[in-house]
Amino acid sequence: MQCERGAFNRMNGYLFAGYTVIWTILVLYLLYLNKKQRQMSEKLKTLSQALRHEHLEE
Amino acid sequence: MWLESSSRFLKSSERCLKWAFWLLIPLYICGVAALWGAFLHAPTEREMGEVQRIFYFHVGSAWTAFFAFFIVFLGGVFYLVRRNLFWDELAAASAEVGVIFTTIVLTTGPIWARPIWNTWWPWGDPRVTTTLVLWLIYVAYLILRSTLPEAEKRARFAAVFGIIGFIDVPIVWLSIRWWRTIHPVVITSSGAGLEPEMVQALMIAVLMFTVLYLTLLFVRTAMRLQDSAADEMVHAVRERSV
Repeated sequence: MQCERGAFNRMNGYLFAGYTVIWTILVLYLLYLNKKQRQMSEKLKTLSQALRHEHLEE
Repeated sequence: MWLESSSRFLKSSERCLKWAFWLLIPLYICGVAALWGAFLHAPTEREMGEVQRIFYFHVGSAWTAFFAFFIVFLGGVFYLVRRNLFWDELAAASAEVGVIFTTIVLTTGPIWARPIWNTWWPWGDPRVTTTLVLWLIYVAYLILRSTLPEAEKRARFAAVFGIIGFIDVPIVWLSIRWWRTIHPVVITSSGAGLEPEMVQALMIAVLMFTVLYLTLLFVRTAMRLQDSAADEMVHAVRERSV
């Protein structure tokens, strides 16, 4: 490939869009994981309490 | 019995989270280095200009997606041999992360293609089409998993699907050699047709995406194992109430 250092042209908009898309996809996935993790922690907490409660009743 | 397997899942989950935690510092270092490599170290390509810098993260995520689907393949094989649900959860987590990276490939590709090829999506191009098929295969894999409630059956079906689905990965890789294409053939048997600084930037980006993939894989596997532990607890609660 031929190279030219420091050249800026009109294609910068596409470059910006490309990297914006990458970060957006990654951030959305991390938010999804965060939401799922919170729901899971809640579920595990409730189930542990239910099991502990039954254990005490026995 | 249910509680025993539940605590085993939780222990494996803790181990996965610990591995993910240890990868955070290398991930940060690699992330900074990859941005430096793509934007400052690599020279501007004369014909394509600045937009060519998408290439480093585009190829990095493509490599990681292939690796992720290879782990789905391995997870499927290990599950069928050992019948241990850990391998199934690992494969499922890897498929999900692989789909994310393939989505990055399929969205950054057209953004690069528009100014270079004057089209967003060249339908006749074999690599573009086979990559889309790859994405659809693993989306179907995830949908298949969500439709099967029984863990053993789900794991068995998914393992077979994951093994057969992997066939598309070498097809994607070799498509630019097998068929006529406008996709650039950068890495050939005689080496990479790139400037040394571009190769270095590409290698750093590939390393960063690999570390990112491993971190996400461990986090997602840990979450899936917690989910399995919760299912076992539900069984335990039901068993006791009966």
